[in-house]
Amino acid sequence: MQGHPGISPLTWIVLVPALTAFGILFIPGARKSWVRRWALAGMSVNLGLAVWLLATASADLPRAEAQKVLPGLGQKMVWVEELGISWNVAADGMSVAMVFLTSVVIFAGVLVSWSIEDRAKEFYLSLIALVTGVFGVFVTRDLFWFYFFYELAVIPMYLLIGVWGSTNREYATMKLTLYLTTGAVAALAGLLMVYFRAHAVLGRYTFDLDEILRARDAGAFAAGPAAGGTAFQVWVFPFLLFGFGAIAPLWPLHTWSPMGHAAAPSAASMLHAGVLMKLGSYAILRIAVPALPEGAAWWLPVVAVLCMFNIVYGGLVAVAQKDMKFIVGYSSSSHMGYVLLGIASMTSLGINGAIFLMFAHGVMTALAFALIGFFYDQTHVRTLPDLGGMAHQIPFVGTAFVFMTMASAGVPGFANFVSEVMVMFGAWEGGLRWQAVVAVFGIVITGVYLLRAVRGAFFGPRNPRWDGLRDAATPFQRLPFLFLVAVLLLFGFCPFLLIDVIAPSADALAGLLAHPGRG
Amino acid sequence: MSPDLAPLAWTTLFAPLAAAALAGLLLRRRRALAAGVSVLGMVVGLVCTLFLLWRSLTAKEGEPTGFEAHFTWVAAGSFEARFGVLVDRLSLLMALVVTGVGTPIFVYSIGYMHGDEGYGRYFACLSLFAFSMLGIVFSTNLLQTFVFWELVGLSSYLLIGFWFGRDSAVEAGKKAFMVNRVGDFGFLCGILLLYYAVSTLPGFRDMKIPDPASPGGLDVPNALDFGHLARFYRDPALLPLLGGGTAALAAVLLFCGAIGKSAQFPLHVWLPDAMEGPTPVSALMHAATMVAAGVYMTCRVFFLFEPFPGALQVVAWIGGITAFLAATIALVQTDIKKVLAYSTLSQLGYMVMAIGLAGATAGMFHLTTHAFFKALLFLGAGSVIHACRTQEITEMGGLRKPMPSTFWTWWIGTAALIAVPGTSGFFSKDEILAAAADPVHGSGPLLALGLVTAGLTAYYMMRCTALTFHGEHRGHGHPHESPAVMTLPLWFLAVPALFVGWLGFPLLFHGHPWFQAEFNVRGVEAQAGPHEFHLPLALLGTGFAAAGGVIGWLAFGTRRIDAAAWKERLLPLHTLLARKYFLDEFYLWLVRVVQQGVAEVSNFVEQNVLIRGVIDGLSALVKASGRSLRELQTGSIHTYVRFALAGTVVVLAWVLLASARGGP
Repeated sequence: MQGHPGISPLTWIVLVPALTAFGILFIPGARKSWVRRWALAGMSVNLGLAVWLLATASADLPRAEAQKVLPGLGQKMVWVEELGISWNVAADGMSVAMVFLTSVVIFAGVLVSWSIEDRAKEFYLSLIALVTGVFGVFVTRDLFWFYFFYELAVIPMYLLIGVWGSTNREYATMKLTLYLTTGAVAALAGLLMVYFRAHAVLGRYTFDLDEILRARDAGAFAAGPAAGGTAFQVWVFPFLLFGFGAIAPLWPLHTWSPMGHAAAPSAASMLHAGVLMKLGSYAILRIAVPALPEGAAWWLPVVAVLCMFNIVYGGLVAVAQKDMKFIVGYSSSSHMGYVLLGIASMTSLGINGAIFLMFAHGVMTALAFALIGFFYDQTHVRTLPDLGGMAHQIPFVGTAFVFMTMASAGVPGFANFVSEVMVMFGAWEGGLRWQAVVAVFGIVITGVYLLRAVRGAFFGPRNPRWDGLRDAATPFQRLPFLFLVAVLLLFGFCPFLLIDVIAPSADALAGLLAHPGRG
Repeated sequence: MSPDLAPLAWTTLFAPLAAAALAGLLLRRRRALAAGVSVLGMVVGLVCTLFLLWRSLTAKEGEPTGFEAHFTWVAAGSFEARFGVLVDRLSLLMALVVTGVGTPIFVYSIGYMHGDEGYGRYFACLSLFAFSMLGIVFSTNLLQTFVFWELVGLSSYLLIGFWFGRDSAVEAGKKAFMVNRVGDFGFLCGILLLYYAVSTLPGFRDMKIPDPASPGGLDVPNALDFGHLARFYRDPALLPLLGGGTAALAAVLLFCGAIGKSAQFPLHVWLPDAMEGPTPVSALMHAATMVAAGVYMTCRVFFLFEPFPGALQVVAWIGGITAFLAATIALVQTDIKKVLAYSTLSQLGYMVMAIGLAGATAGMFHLTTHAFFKALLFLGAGSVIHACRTQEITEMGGLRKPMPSTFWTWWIGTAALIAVPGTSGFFSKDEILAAAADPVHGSGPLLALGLVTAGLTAYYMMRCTALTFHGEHRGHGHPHESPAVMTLPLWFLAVPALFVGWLGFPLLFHGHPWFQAEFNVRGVEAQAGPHEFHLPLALLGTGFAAAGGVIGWLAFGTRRIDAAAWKERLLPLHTLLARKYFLDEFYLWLVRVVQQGVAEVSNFVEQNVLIRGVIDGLSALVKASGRSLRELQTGSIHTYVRFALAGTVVVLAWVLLASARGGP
């Protein structure tokens, strides 16, 4: 074992949820409160770890300039020598940001699911297993484990939506799982092509990302006579791009998402929209771009066009929706278009903005689904014409909803504004001028459907039909919402807290894209 | 005047935010405390501003009259966005307007909003607005301005839709937010265009700019920063490096933000609807400050327009058209707040027109005087609404005796608005007309427009005043004067409404030593100087106003002219004006037909093509192939043997052929 002595905090970040899930197995199903508390305890530990990690990163990263990786935290333990599989974890600014995002969202998610009565044990088990996968994806540097955790993050979603979901859940869950798995398989094909190519140069099989990058530097993926005259990178990159892009969700591979959002129970939607969807862009930034920078430089202009559809088309479809979860779902598609635009800009500013937006959007959308879930549990109705005037009966939720709307609309004070502006500037700087203009126009479209949603659900005359609604009254009930709003405000006022941490990763990626020939 | 005074500016900016947080989070139930904290926030700001202004005005020869303090907010790649306070006479003047008009309005609100459910929420939102507005005022760079621009829009949305139980209020809030967003779209595109056009020029990057934080050191040129941009634009060697077309376009796009925020044509439609909000909100935001933000911002970046007459023309004409158009609509309004709203639109048009005529000082002067007398008029309207429980002037009348404070302060405000000689409005409007009459930068048609509009202004104000205060009371109740907490602010505002103009009166002070809105951005010379006082022009302006006023009074005050008969005679014209030139209908069509149409088409594509067509089609394909392949499982031994035989033959053949080819 190299690197951190003992068990690295990064390994703990994956072990803690794994152990939490394992522990849930042993709690009797009837003891729901034990399950809940055990889950909350586990996720609180992870939240603490993530905050510690963020603080460490803020302090250490300027010194870790050279490797862009936090020194002393990574560790590697070889597992299957012949195939080159090892337990390999490391964290750079991007990973830290994503781990922090996940821990924030799952913490709130556990709280929000407190009221689930039906098979609570199995629910929490699936939820925590899913999040184990997500944490794993964000800290691992081994492609085998990457794929493993990636699938681990998708499969429990099938159960979560299929058993505890609502509208059209069988169709939605089947579609979501098949779609994402197909994407993962396409990505796997790409990963394996890279794996075998690296073997040709290195002489041994390895899933270790750093070794694969070294192979890249040695010209393993270069075009040339050895490659049979074809540009290897240009052929392989789309497997990774569209495979991971399905979950991003890159237009037109997005259709699984809104339906999945709508059908899933609150905590699952929070994880799905908040975190799961970030796996795609993360994977593109973590694996696809560094391994195949020339391929990326070739294909990203295509992404620059496709993401326009995400932004505008996604927004327009949201305008036509009446179900609140669908509105938020298509809104997510639209916002993720900004992330993809930031990546496609190939500038440090744009990529930094994209990663920051992944964080900000994740928290914001988690808040959205938490709020919708809260009142949907009581009203059993989420369509705008049926709702209305709820701010009279549930003012706290109403206020939190307005905060969420403002964050989503890109109003300053919230993290989303800064990240979106960074993406827009990055896009312009990267030469994507028309795309930047469209991105700016996107904020007008966003305003339309968001204000309509707020107005339709919460404002207007008091509707006696909802007089029995109970607001989030106790501090415990209010905690998840307050927590998420506080995070959005904190990073909205002090964006530098996260931007400075992400910067080295963004700089490295931009440098790579600017000079794909050199490492 | 040195950066040591920066904490005063920071306090002015953040005190209202602290008040908003306190009022919103902790004090919602403790109403008096919420109100008190908010008023305190404003008073603190007012005191700090006055002190800073005094220091700036008494600065000795050679001493700087302003300073700047900032820190880095966002830094990624080569991009840096800063956050800071820019204190110079222009920003201090505007801050004075905000806090000087804001404080009495906050106090007035204590009385006006008494008993309302959302009392605490009201003060929290109002304080949030004050913070946002001061952020625009003290902004050091374009992005910071945009940040607070959006926040002001948010505050406006929250306050217009304050009584969210009322559909019309909610719709009005939405409309304000969306129309502003359209303007913001132009604004942000302008920032992007300008930033990258300038920052990619080597000439800009090589500029030597002293760092305000470390004396003697050099700052990194930042193409968002007002000071840096001004320095670049005023350098005759550097400016030509920037493409004229790009620069002019960027300026006009930035102005789009002002079109939205200051409700200029064609984005003016949100302002009259904004009257749905509580009257003190209308007074503070939609008369004195928020809508003035566009004017202020345009003055702040006046150097971006100066070299480009085309851009200036766009500004001037949009202002002039707005001024005239709005005044015509005000002629037929029956809701007292709507009259004042259209009047505000009209006066904002004057300010914008002035800037477009290179009379930035005149524009700021009018902004200042207008803030005071318009706020006064709105608060007076609030007092009247409170007493008569209606907003329709047709149901008012006879309020002179029962409401003396309101009556007299209303007349003071009206006099200023009509530009009665000697009032503040007289001097500021005269400056604007002088700018229009200027031989170099002026414009004959716009001067004519300005004069006619002055006449219309007098007409509609006389009409409104006569119907509201004079004659017999046409309502049902017994109106009485409002409490002191509401009338004292009225008198407080009446003083500057009368006398602020004298601070700018050229003959008396030889060119505004007190009120010299120096566009003095860190040492660069003021460009937009004041104009001389022109007696003939002043008389001409007064003449038009007098004419309009007399007609208005004759029609509605003394009933010598039969207004009803004239209305019949000019019914088509009257309808056109009453329906606001059908612009609202046009925008509604845009939303209902165009926006919804495009959305429905996209949705159709999504549901039918992508989902049903592609995805479900794929799954249907898989199902179908599964079904047909299932046919192979016939259960009959004969079929299986047949297949096995056929398979064996195929494999044998393939192997033989392959080895034949692989052979020598």
